[in-house]
Amino acid sequence: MSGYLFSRFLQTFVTLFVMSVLVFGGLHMVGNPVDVLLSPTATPAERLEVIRSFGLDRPVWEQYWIFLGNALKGELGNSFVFNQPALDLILQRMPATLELAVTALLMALVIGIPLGIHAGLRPNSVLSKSIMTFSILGFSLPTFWIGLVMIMVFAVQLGWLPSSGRGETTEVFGVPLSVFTRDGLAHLALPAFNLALFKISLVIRITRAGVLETMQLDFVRFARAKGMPERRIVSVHVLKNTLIPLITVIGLELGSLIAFAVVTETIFAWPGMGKLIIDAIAVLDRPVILAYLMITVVMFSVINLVVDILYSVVDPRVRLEGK
Amino acid sequence: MTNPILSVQDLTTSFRVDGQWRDVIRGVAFDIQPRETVAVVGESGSGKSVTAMSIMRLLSPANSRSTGRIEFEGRNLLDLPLPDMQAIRGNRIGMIFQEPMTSLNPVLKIGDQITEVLRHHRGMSDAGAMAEAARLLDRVRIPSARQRLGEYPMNFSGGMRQRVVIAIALACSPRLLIADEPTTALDVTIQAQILELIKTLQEEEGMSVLFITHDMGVVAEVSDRTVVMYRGDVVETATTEEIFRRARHPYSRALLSAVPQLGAMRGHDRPLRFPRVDMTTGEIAPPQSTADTVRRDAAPILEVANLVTRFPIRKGILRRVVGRIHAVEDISFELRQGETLSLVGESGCGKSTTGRSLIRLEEPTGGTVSLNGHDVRKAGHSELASIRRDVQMIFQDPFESLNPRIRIGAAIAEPMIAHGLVSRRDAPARVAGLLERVGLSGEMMQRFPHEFSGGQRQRICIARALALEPRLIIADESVSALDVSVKAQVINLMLDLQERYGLGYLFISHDMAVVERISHRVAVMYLGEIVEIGPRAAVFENPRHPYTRKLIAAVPVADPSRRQRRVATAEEIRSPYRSADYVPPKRLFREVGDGHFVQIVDDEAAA
Amino acid sequence: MTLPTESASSIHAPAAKPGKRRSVSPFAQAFGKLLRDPLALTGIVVLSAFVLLAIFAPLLAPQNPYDLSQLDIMDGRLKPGSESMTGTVYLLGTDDQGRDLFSAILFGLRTSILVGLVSAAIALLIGASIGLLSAYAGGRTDAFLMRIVDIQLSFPAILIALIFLAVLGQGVDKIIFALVVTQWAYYARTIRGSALVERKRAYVDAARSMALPDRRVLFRHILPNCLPPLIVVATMRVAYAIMLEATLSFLGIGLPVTEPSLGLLVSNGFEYLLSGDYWISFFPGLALLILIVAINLIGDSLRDILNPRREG
Repeated sequence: MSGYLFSRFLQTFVTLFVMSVLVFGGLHMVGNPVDVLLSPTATPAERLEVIRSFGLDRPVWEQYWIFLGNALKGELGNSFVFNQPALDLILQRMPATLELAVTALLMALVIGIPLGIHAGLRPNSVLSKSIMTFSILGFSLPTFWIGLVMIMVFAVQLGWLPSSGRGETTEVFGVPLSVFTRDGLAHLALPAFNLALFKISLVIRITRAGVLETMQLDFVRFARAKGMPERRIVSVHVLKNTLIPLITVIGLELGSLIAFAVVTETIFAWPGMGKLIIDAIAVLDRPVILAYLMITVVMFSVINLVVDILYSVVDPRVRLEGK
Repeated sequence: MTNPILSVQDLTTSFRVDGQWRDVIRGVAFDIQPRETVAVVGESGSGKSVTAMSIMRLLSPANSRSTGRIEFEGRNLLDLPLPDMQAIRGNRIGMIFQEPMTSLNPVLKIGDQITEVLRHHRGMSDAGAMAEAARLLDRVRIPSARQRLGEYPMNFSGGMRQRVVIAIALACSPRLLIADEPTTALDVTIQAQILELIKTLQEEEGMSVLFITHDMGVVAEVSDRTVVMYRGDVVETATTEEIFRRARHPYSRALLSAVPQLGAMRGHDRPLRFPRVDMTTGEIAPPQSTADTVRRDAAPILEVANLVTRFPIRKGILRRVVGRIHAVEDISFELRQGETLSLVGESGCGKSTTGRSLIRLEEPTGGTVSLNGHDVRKAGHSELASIRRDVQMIFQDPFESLNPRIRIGAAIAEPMIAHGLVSRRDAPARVAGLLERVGLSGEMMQRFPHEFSGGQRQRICIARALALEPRLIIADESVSALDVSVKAQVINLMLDLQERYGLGYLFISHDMAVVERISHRVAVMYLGEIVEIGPRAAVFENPRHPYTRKLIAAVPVADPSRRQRRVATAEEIRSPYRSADYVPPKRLFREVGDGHFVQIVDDEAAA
Repeated sequence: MTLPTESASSIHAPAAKPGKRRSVSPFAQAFGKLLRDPLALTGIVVLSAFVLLAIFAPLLAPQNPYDLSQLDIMDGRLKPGSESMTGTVYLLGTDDQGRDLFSAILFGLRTSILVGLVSAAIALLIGASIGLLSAYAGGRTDAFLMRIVDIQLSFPAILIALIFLAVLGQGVDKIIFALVVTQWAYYARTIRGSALVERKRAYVDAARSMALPDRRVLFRHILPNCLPPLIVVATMRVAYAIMLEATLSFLGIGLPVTEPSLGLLVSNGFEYLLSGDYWISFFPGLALLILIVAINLIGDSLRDILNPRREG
């Protein structure tokens, strides 16, 4: 176990390092943020002053060295645009993104698992075939486009739900959340569903495949021969075998939802960190891009770690070992 | 006669295949009396398992249906509503299946899988059920039963899992136990234990047993009466004695004549073909004896000295070697032209690894292998290629050993063309000739492997092996996956080819009876070592090593008059895994007869 | 023969019937099944139509949407079916710059399909080579390569694409590069997985024991048997790559504004959506959806046909 944790930490640090070098070097080559930030009328003297204040006059490896030293102290630099610590900017916006992603994940599971189980148990029924056709559609819908269509229908035409923003939030342990107010929920509904749509299809397909496969296995036949009622066979024997593999999927998909929130946040003007990174990329705001990256790498590593540990707890066949 | 426990009358089961209903078994009828064991025997496709599944109504109702009567405790099972049937399953009728490795749910604890039956059928409390479960595990002779209730199936070996399955099936003291090939997937010594266990429990419980099997040896060992099935029909029902003494139906006779009986080779000094049976009259023609093919005058074609093959087990970030599988440990033997040497042993004994190491399909760790005077281990790339031409291999699974995407004609021609033995243009004629030699027709060469049956595919593999005109064939469990009758035909073919081409065979098998039938010499392997090697007659008739004796004693003999009782033990097959610093002891041999060597058993004796 | 025909005693495979015509290869069989599946057939027909439309877009489109001199800002945001000043009908309306949406969609499809196919082909080539190498080499090489694959796959594709485009800037070549970087690992893992399975199968042992050259064993025996899962993955990945390109373009970091792809067209229409001019966003997205559905229908059917586990 300790060997496993050690190898995991090592891996995260190596990933962080490689990613930061890549992005640092890449951004340096691609262009000078000063060109984007300064007005064209700025004098060469002003220009030099800004360059010096950002430390952009030093050689790139030296810049990176300074960044690395600061990063180890937990400082990821100030945003070129906002002139605030980049880390603070991201941490401020993180709860909104996490709330959106987790809500979408729960939606995907709550809707996807029952439909998937049904489709797996009765693969030839009309309902199952409709579910599977829907899931192909759900797989193919471009998130950004269906988001627009949703705004068009539910916000513009029907006027049922707001089309943008986060609505009223309440503070829970100092973290602003939307789910506890009516207004917040109304604002959350469309973006969360938009984000969840693709994952619903995915969960349906994975669950169905798992159920179909498990139902064929010998121990299900043996459970029948033991005289167990079909309900117990499905709810105990089949479900446990089907849902355990889903844990891995849930972990990966939570990461993917956080990343894909970029699109949904752009459409629904959701004030999360996805919106921030898109804007940062447009103006080459290097500290923000780097901070975003560092944070996501750490976040994903934590998610993967939790998933692995959870998996080894639930599935007796899995033992953690540092490989 | 008393009332039968189970009475099957005119049972017909059909499957829906591509929208059409097709009968799989027709008009099956038999009775089982109290305390009686009835065996249903047949080859694959005979419908024996479908019969068992129909009785338990375990076939999917969507694409199967059964008609007729299945009377059990005064009720027709086919008419019962599903909840009533579920109340019978696992309660009044227990059932066990072939695959112990997959019959248990991998993510549920053993205890939970036993207690769910007790709670459901007998309404026991959780605590009561746990106590009863421990008692049940004890009854199937699982050591330290109580502690093992909290473990998962993966911590149990195949034999132990089958014991758990039996414990579950017997949890509610059923009147009838249906055992569907319960020992087929097990090693022979474990099979002996499980058969013994079933017999003992049957006596203790006073229940009846319906035993489904393909193995005539098992039939002779366990059953009072026998039902012979062939392609969905019952062809003969009689007491087991009668079936084995004077079977009336030609198919029963053919089946029996294809079964090698351990010990039946006494008095023959050369391999023996299987007899042929006329399917209309049921006449059995005595088997043709084989010619003496062993070339004792020339040097052996294969000489193996101190061969060692170990597989390292690595763990951790640094992939350190934490242990090794000692698959083959210091073995030596030789094989002459025209001779059949069998390597026999149970799973994990290293017999297959030995065969694979000889032509470096696995890289040996030490020792020398000399084929036709070439040192295999020192051979470079091209020398190895020419060595491999002289040695061909035939594998166990005929469905696996042909590439599904290559026409069989191309598959047979491929090695000949690659080695420049024949031009692309002349290849078809050669392939046709080879196919005819193994009893197939040359027109078949345009077909793909999936269009052939198992026996036909094994013939194709033999034809392909012959293509390079080898002098030695390594047959790795080559007939094990085949039905008895097909197995007999393929073995006859192999004996024909040995006579014709003077082939040497290294015959790797777990089947003692087949080995006795076709070998000139036999080597018994245990935990990677040869424990006894010698002429066939000497090893089988005068086994000296305790493990050889145990192995021979465990084989069920296809003769009800030689039925034997054994002591029900719970020994397990040991693993050849050793820690990284393990140094194997040097083994010494004693010559107990002409060419008959036995490993000297030390204190921590193997068997 | 001593016993009734052996075919009767094997339930696994029906014996070959005598006098049968030249038999069909497994690949041909799978293709036949694909054509008999109505959903897959629909997918194939629609996809073929889209591909033809894309190839002949310059001949079919009433306007070259990339030629700014052909655009008339006076024709901006016209409803579907409107007539232009010069008398041509805008079948699906125009965007804010007076660009004929029908023409823009045809050219957009061209870009989408090109980007999807080219990136998938390159990713497949790289991924499959690395996967095969990994499976073939085994040991530390394998462990190292697969660790990289694992790490990469634990990051969502869109995130990696975002980062690369942030670094690289806009352009067709850049987006293809970004898509290749995000996709190769899927192919590598798929082919390595099936190569490891195939390598252990007896027919490979048989080929090796017949002393066939390694190259032949790898390319004639192992590789063809690894293809079915790879084909399924590739189909689904092409669809995903097309979607990803559109998404990135929508976010404004994919293709340049001067050559609007479908995603960018949707993005352009975004600001007019709330005022009711739905078509600018709606039709390009619909075209994209139909294209992706068509590919996924084929992929889904292929998965069922090529995955033998479904049966039984």
